[in-house]
Amino acid sequence: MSKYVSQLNPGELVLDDSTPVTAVVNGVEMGRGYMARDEVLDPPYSFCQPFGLALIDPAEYRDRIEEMERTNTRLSDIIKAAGMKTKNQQQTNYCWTFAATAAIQVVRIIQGEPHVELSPASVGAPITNYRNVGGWSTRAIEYGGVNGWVPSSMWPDTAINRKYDTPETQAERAKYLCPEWWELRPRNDQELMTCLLSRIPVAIGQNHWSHAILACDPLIDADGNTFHRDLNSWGASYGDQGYFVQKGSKKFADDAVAPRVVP
Amino acid sequence: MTHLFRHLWSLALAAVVCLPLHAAAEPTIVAPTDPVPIGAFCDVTITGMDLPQSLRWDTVPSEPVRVTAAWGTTDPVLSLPTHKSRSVALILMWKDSAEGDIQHRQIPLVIGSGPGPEPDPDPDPDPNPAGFRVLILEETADRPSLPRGQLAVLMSPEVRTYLDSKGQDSWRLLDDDLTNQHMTGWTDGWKSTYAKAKELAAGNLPFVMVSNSTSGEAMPLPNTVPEMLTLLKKYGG
Repeated sequence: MSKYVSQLNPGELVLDDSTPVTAVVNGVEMGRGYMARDEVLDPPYSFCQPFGLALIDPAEYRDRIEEMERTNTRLSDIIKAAGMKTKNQQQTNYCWTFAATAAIQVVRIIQGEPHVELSPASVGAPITNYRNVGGWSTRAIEYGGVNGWVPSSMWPDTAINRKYDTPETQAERAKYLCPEWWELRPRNDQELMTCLLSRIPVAIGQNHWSHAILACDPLIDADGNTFHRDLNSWGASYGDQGYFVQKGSKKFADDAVAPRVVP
Repeated sequence: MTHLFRHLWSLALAAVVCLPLHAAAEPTIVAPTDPVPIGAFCDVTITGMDLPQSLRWDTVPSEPVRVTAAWGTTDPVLSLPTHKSRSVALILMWKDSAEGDIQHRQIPLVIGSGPGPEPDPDPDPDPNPAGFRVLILEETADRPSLPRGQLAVLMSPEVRTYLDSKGQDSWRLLDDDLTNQHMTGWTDGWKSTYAKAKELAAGNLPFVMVSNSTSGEAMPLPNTVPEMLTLLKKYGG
């Protein structure tokens, strides 16, 4: 039986149980903004199908991960090949909409769509009534799924400003919808691994640092423990072009949403 | 009857007489035909325009244009400052009457010892001129249970690189649950390709449809990357 162990990139930033979490990048405190879901305001599964993927048997994880790494077919490989920019939320509290927007962009890349940078603020700002406040990624997908995203070229990524809500940007939203998505159960490792092994990106919110990021690559250690490589929204100078690894108790997703259909 | 013929003849005669009066005068555009020295102004003079105030202009690549004549008092003169060697296309647009159609003219200009004029920009380029088009239909929810070979085909960098090399609008991997209301911004070509692929797949997913301008093929997705590349190259070269 294979004893394959995931190959981390040289010097890759790993957050594990012994790592103190910091949000300082190049001496600047970055914004976060993940808030635990308000289940009264936004009941789980209220706008989407229950998690609909057949769960992959954990006994297959190691072989599948080995194959992904050997063939360079991890989501991070595909994202980098497509030239997707690592966004920077700067000091906004919009990590939750940055993570959701990154998920939409990645699905579009997987589907072979022309690469378009989409604006997280074009979804986050209307949801929060143009305030710089936190939220959860499912809320961003629910709004953007129906109303759509605006390209960053028309609405800057961090612009919390009504002046960008114009007839032109309203018309553009209709091109970038997400009519279907899945909500994963909180802290459910098998659902998250099934998505990542299937190359379905998952926007995850984590209580341990009040932050939402995009989970990309499934990883495995010698003992069979799974963890994952994620994409942050603190610019390309964080980790390896924005990528880093979370393991141990830090890997769990307290909120998780996966876009399914992006026309 | 005689009265009717006389009436029609009068109308035809009137049309012939009136035609020259209604035809717009073609403006005369005088532009330098030789390269303009760097540092000099490149003047373009337009005379004989019925409605000079309707004149609009642009340059490719973008250059500042200075208007050196007042509208309505004399013929317009456009001047381009010439700071570096380059070819410039001056695009003029005007209306020959208040209700008339928009006319346009493109004037190639050479400044300094720049390269020759560039070809006309295609206003509506076909993103997929060769007609090579690939649509893979899948049920996203089935990815975990797909044969591993087929999942590898969907994500293969070799397949994606090949498809991307055929143009960004040459291929799609789409879920079979999309409806017309989701297709805002799609070209008619992709809408019809999607409908055809769904019909041919008949739920047998994942399914691939490959075509070029002369022929095509539709089949269940191959199980290996080499098989998929063979299929693609059969139609895409």
